[in-house]
This record gives sequence, C-alpha cells and structure tokens, in this order.
Amino acid sequence: MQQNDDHLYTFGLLDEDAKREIRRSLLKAVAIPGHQVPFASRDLPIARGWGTGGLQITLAIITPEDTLKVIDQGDDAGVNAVNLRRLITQTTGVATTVATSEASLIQTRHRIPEEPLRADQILVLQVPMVDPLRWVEPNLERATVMHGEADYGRMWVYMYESVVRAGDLRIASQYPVMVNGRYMMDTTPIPRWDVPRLDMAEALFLFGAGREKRIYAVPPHTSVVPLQFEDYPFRTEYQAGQRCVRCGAENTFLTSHFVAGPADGGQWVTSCSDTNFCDQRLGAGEVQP
Amino acid sequence: MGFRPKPSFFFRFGGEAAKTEEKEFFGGGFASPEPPPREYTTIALLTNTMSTIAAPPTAQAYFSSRAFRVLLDCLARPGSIGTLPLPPQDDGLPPLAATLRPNPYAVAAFLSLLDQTTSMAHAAEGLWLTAEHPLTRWIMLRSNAQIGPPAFADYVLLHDPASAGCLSELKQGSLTFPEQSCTAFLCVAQLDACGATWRLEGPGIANSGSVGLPGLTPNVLKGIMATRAHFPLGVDIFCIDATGACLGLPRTTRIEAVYSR
Repeated sequence: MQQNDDHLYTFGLLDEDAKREIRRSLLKAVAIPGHQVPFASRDLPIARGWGTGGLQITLAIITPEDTLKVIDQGDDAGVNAVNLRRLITQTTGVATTVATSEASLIQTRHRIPEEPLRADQILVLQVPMVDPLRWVEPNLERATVMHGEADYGRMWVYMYESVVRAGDLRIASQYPVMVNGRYMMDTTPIPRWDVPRLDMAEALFLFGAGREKRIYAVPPHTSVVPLQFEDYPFRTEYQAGQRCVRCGAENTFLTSHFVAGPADGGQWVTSCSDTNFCDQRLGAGEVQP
Repeated sequence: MGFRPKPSFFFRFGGEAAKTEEKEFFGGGFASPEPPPREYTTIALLTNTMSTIAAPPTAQAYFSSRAFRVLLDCLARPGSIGTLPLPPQDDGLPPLAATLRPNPYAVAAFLSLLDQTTSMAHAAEGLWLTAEHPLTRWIMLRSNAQIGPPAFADYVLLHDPASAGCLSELKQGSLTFPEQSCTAFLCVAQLDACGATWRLEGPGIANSGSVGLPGLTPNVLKGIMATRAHFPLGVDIFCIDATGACLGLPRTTRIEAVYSR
C-alpha cells in the first residue's frame, strides 16, 4: 500500500458515519440473500447513475491490504473504470491490477470476469435498475410488499406474455432470478451469459444501486435460478461457431465492433468482452489461427 | 412518510441520562460534587464521534474497515472462522462484574458498527445491563448509540453463553422490512474450526460445514433456534471467542447439534 501522506481525504473518501451505514446494510443484505436493503446513498464526486452504488460499497469495504480491479463491460480501460479506479486509489492508496486472479476486490459494470472467481475475492456490481418487479408494479412501496410476501405471480404472467408475444423469453439483460428459493432479484445489466455464474459460486457478490439507494447480495454457494418455463428454458447468448478474432476463444462473451478495411470498406468482428482474459490467452500462446 | 421507520429514533431512554452526565462533566450547568473520573475526560478528547468530511485516517478507521471485512466474510461463509484484528487502543474496558471481564474483540467489533442512528443493549449472566452500568456508559460515550429496550435494539452484545436465552426477546424485522432486525454478538469461550459441535447448512456453505464450540451448553442452540422460525425474519448472530475468532450465523443458516459418543 502506498501511504497517503498528505491526508487530503479520509481513508476511502466517505466519512466514517457513511461507511458504517453502508456496512450495516451490507451485513443485512448478505444475511437475507437477494433482498433489497435500503441505504442512504451519499453524494459523491460522481453523478448518480455512473456507478455510485458500487463505488460506495467498494469504499466502505476496502482495506489497505486489498488489490483492486475495476472493469467496465469487461474492459479495464473503459472510461468509467479508469475514473472510478483513479478516485478509489487516490483516496485509499491501494494497489490495483488488471489481472483477475491477482485482485481481492473487483468492481464491475455489466460483466463478471470470465476467469472463475475464488473464495477470497469479492465482486462489487454497479446496479442501474434494482427491482425486477418494476415491469409489473411501478409503485415501489407495493413492490416491496410483494417481495415481502413472495408474491411473484404477476412476474410469471409477464414472462408468459413475453413468450406469447415474441415467441421467446425476450430479455436481453436484467434477467430475473430467484435467489435461495425466496427472493426475486434483478441481475443488473450483466448479460444472460453471466447469470448462471452467480449460481453456487465461490465468491461473494455485492450489488449497489446509488440512484435507487438499494444494496443486495448473493453470498457464495447460494442457489440462483433464472426464471424459465419447461418448454422455454433460459438460454445464454451463446451461438454455435462464435469465436473471438483476437484470441480465438470459442466459449466467452463477445462484443462486436467494426473494423475498417482498405478494399471492401470493413467488416464487423467479434472479440472477447473480458479484455484481460483475452490478453492472457494471447500472452500464453493459446491462439488458434 | 414513515416508509422506513427507525424504532431506535423513538426510544432514547438511557441515552438522555448519559448525555446529561456528559454535560455535567464539561460544565453543562451542574456543579459535580466530585471531580469527574479521569477516564471520561480522556475519552472525550480522544474520540471523534462527530461527522467529519476530511480528517486524516485514524487507527480506529483502519480497524473498522478491517474488522468489517472479517464480519462480512464470516457472515457470507457461515462455518468458516475469521480472526478479528486487535482493537486499536486498550483504554481499560470496565469490568462487567467483580470477576467477569468483557471480551475486548467482541466489544470492539460491536462498537465498529454503532453510531448515533443505532440503538444497542447488552446482557451478562442472562440479565440485561442497565444504562448506568460502567460498560454501557463506556460504549455510549464512544459510539453515541442509544441504549434502548432490548426488543427494539438494533445491536445486542451478549457477554456470555448464559445470556443466549435473551436472543428470543430481540426484534426480528417484518416481512416488508426484514433488514430491520437485530444483529447479536455472542461471546463464547472457544471456537474450533476443526471441531464438530454444530453441523451447518445453508447459503454460503458448500454442502455442509461444522464448527466446534467446546464446553457449550445446549441452551445456546435453543436460544439461536428461537430466532429462526420465520425466515426471512430473524436475528443474525456473530459468535466471538476470547482470541478474536469469529463465526457468522446469518438467519439463513440451519444449525443441527452433533451428538458424538
């Protein structure tokens, strides 16, 4: 740890009262998996909606011994990731890394790293939309009561209607899941690809929504089951024959981007969303040309 | 709008008494018949219970963040034993009784979560301790927490396994707000990661785990199970031993006594 000698900030920017309040909410969130615990959501030098929920959790749980990784869509060099990392390191002095395996604390927007997480790692997710019931019950108080009574019938009707109208479960992200068989939880905009990786995982997942002032958690070894029907099962984005143009991986979550070419004007290509995973494969010579 | 009422806000019994006492010590209008014990003046100068925006990191701040990570990890992985860090300063915990001393690790971990928005209660030998107890005053002066009726306390410290019967009196939250339940810290003699007094199952545990609590009386498990009948309602418990070893028992953990021999 670099010693922050000028003491311009308290350790972790937030004052101790704010950190304690977040910590108390976090303990309750872990004790009731999938339940949304309200918290105060203080003002930060970042606008709400840009990851302040995840940032507040990170600042409340970080210790000087941590090694931090921040990703935005799987990318360590995304604008959001770079700025959050800079804020956290300037106010705490912790070491940072891009290697998933070296990090003890990972803050992320939209992705779970491809590399399986270990028991000594904590993943903090930035959450834009908290309540899966929002689609069927816009009133927050009534939705809270519905969660309390495990009254999820209307969500199942919504899923059914989605199948009737579109012929499939047309949910791209924010896929609803049941946590520990009791609470329905929104999986944030992580792609469907990452949803099965929340189930019975080794690491602890903490979700923070700064704008909606909610914290929730999925402890390790906790069942996370996506909502699905027998004849319309949950499916990830996997497509047969998909491949990363950089590292040749055939079983990762891909993003597409346009590469301009001299002759034909260019083409769309797909590459791994998790840049560190892709770089490691390239470095280890696992590329199949 | 009463959307998330805080019971602690309404119950300020012992807190007022302590505030008055503090005022007296610092010239609040009452002439104390005797000079105040030195202990209290030192505390007021050293501790910083006000909200501050920018202050150099203190040993207390580092301790709180490290202790919290242990508590978080223990609660996320029931059955795994964490080790709480050493409390930052040892300025003489008042004894509970002539022969009974409080567990400094448990008091420090308890204190790290308390502030003026929370209420607390603590018990020893099966009895709730009063607002006038020296340790109650010690905790209140450092944390600003209110001492309230145990049924409304947010945080409870049980100084010995004999007090485990008190767990059934604690608030368990409501269906709408299950997080408005008590968190209890229970001091035990010894935690043994390799032992098997209890078998644990539930979220955070791969298959099943076990933990040893040598010399534990059956009333403790009975007291814990009394808080576990109505999930998602319930009390979350940390067991802390004399060496700072910590076991988290969230309300989701199913506990079964293992009878050997």
